[in-house]
Amino acid sequence: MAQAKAKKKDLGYLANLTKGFIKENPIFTFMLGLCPALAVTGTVETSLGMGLLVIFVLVSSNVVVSLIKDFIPAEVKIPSYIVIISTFVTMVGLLTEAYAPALFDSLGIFIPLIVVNCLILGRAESYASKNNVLNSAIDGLGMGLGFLGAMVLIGFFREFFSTGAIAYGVYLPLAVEGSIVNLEWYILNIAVLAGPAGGFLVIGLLLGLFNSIAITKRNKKERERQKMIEEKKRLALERKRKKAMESAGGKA
Amino acid sequence: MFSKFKIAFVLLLIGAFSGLAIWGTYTLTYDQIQENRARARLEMYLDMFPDMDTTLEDPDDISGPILGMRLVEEPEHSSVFEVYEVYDSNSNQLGYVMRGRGNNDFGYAEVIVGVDMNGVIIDVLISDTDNTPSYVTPLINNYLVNFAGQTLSDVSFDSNTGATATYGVVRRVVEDSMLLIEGDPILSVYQDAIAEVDRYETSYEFLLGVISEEVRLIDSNNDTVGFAYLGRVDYEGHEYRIGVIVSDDEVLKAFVVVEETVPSGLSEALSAFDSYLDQAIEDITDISASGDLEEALKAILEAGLRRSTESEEVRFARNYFLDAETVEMTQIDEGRLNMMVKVFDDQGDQLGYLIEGRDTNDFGFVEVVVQIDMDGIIIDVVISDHDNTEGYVIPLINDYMGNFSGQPLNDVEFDTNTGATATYGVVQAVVEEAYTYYENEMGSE
Repeated sequence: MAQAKAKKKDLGYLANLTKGFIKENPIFTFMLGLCPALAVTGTVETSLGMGLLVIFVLVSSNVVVSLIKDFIPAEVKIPSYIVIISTFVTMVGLLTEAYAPALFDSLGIFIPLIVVNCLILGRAESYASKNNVLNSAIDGLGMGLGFLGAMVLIGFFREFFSTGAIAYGVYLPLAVEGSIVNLEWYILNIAVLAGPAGGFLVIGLLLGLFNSIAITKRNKKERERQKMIEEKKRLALERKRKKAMESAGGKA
Repeated sequence: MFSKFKIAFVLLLIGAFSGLAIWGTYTLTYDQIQENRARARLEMYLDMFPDMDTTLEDPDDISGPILGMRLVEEPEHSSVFEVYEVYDSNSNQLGYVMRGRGNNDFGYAEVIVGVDMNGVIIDVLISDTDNTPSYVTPLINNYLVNFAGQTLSDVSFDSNTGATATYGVVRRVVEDSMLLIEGDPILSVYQDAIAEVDRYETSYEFLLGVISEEVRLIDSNNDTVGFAYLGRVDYEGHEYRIGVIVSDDEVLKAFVVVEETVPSGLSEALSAFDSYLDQAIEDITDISASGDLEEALKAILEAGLRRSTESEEVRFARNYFLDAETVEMTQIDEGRLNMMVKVFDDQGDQLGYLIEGRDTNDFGFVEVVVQIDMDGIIIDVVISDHDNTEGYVIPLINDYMGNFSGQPLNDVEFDTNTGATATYGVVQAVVEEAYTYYENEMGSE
């Protein structure tokens, strides 16, 4: 019994990994990490690049915070987390400049700014500082993948609908170098989506879409619940009536 | 006590591990990053000069010297820090490459300027920057391309982008490149007067009067060897900058036109003052002139000589009262106010008061000077210095500060439209305190 309870409390690894994909998606549910989501989602590839860098920093910082959580005095928790996060951000910045220079140039100042991505500090504080290393790593990976997915989705809408094409291999050393998926949908050449205003528009529209899906789902669930309650009520009443009739028959 | 030691120890450990991790990554990636940067620069040079000799001095070291790029100068007091001559494989010079760097509010930008042997710009590129990419990319795509094909000595800068921070750095580097390649005609004017001059810089901008600028002349040891005082004169429909050059021991060295081409009529008029050269300033009296042009030049000569000998206090007062000759300064240590200056003319008659105040707001500091006449009427309220955002301050100066002029200090109507801005808040507070101080001062006199 105690073991089952602990298991339930610990969350299954799969549930822990996947909770960040949709249900607790950092961008579309928690509205965390919106600065890079607005700033570097002009193309799919920069979105992908930023997402990968964030995953690296998120997993690494979660692991380290979880490892040393018992040794960090409460008074200096946040400064310590910031030092740990900024260390990984500096490392990832150097590695990107060395091995993906085009991505480094294209993300520019937004790489050092990963330090202030509230998703990373948020997970360190709310999850990694209270859970074991494995769960923290899985949480970081899941949340990072959710962040990456949301970034790529925004990037896809912005790049595709502003240029009519998706370019690969321009910023990242991908296997397919410099190839372009061009569907020649010139009618959808909405240039404003490539600019800063486009970030707000696309995120706003996607948030609206996801919220409306969530509300529809919730309403449907609520209706089903109401239906079920009504059904249970009806059955209970029926049982009551039956019992009453039976007792009346017995007396008679 | 123990808990404090524990905190310090934990922080020290985290810091040490953090430093170690960063150092390790830095060491691991250093060579690759240098190679990437050198390769990117080489590609830029090759785009400008496709025929350049790209042979490496050390074939294994791409970040080392390239035979086709010969470093000829490393200027010290310029935004350009390296000047290269570019050669092809037959040692024919193809042109120049200047590498420059400048800082702005967003960080830094490194700029490369390529020029051919005729002084025509081949390209201007941003090779490295930490400015916001979404500002830099449109600049590169839409505006830097316009430099190509322009003559370096006569570059037309884009007025639309002129105000942006990144373009500001580019502009400085292009201008300094021009001075390095074409030579600085203004510097040679100063060198003709005082041979030791190595560079110059504006040291003061005057708000009132014929002379608008003081230029400090500096030798190669960074010592001041003289000053130039610059004004403007109209001649045949063109405005010329005329300068009075004074050595640091207050001897008039030259009276010059700071332009490349000087019309003969103007240089003849200037020569009328040759007899005053090499004289101590205090000995130059009763300057004679004949004709309108000579009268205008005389006014500049007189004003330049006057400016060169005035004290800091009088210089401050003359920015507001042009006839100021003597001042009485009182340091104030109350609230926002710094000082009050009573200003007198050459007859000893008081012209008015200047009250200076300073305060900080959320954006930095603002320094304000309130100029008052002898009847207690505000002549002007001026923001004399600040580090607030220019975009907020300029509209304030243009549209609202003028409304103070003519109002009595004891009954100022502050502008309600701007009252909420942080900069105007400081101005309002200083004017109010200036009134209180002025009232007390009047009461005590």
